[in-house]
Amino acid sequence: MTIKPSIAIVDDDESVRETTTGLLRSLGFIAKGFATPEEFLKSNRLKITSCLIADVQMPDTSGLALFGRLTAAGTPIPTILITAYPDEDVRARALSAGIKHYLIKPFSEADLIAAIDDVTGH
Amino acid sequence: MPFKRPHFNPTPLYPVAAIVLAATIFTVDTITKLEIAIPVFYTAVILIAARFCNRLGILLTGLACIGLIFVSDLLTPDSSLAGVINTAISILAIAATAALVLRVKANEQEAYEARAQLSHVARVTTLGELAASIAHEVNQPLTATVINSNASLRWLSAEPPNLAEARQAIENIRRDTERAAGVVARVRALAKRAPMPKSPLDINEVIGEILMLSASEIRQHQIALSVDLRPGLGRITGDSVQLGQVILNLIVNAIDAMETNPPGERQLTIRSGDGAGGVVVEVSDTGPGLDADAVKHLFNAFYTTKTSGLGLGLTISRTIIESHGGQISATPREPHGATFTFTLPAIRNGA
Repeated sequence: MTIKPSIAIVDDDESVRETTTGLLRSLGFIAKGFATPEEFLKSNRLKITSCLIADVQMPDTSGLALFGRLTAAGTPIPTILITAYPDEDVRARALSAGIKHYLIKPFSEADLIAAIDDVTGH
Repeated sequence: MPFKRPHFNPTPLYPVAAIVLAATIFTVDTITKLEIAIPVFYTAVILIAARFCNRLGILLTGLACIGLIFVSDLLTPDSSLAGVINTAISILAIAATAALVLRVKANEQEAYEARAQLSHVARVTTLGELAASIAHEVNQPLTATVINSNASLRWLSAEPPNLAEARQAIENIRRDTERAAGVVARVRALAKRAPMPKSPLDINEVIGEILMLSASEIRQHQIALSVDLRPGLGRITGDSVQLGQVILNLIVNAIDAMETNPPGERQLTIRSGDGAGGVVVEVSDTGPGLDADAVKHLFNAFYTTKTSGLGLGLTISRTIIESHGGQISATPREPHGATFTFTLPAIRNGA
């Protein structure tokens, strides 16, 4: 039996956060939602999270900046960025920072799962 | 439309005055043999007619006046040279006055149409700026709906089916669909070109609607929003779409003004309250503020401090506020930034 990865979802939009969390749980993942990057950084999930799904546009810290902070702190987490506001510059910066997946809302469940499988190596 | 059509004064005084004056001139012209061209005074009748007639009406009035001159001449024939010259001068004066009045009327109509057109352009431009933001606002619930429909199918096809989870997912779909529909409805109301009848409304509700529409635009620009709406404000009479346009315009301006501020120093404050002139709404930013030249010309058409923009937003905002019997002004904000304030008369209690 394989242990499913623990996934963190950071999105300030409650609907997206809750439904994504619910979907991943229904698929057997351990998933937890956070409304802000700070909430996630302060949580005890930080060390066990093997995949981070983060929204690009959030009030204080963007998903991309969150990834940058984790990397700078020496604790990088494989990250999937999601956005309802696609921007080629942001996408290019994300790719050069080492983020392989940049999903545009509304994304399909299949795309999300493929991205999770890719970053967690399943 | 925020602009009043060049209107015809509904008071019956003008037609009565025109008829009385025409009758007086006709009588004096017919019964006297003065050496001056009495019928020249028919020009005054045309000027009065211009107050309440359309272009055809003015033309007919001019023809009627010339007709009266000939009737008067038939009743009291005067074949002297002075009489003929007087008649000719009078007819020329009437024709010239009518032509001038018709020209002024045509210009008024053109100006009205141009302003109405500009108002529409400016509204569409504002909408264009917000289009990306609105797409974001719709995409969020859409994302949740896509995920929830997959989740509900999975719960239903599980063995045994988990009906409680499926029901919850479907309930979420309903909620998110309504949320998306709400955004679309607000956009449609904004984009509508037809004027809405003025009705009693709560300005706080209008502010709330616009804040919902511009929420992601504000978030996108990393602006701290502070909203202080006084509950139980007096209602005002107005067109909620037009007033929403003014508030939206002030918010978009504030966002643009703070573009060059570092993200931590972007503060948008929206307040409502009671004032001497009625209901007061304030929109403040912490941008670079206004210099004396800007304060002077801010509300003029085609004046803009932005690199892109028509310079019509505030002009139209002022026209809308004034057509609601209110006032709008701009003041520098301490220590920096600008505050735009508009006041609208509140409906008196019991009215």
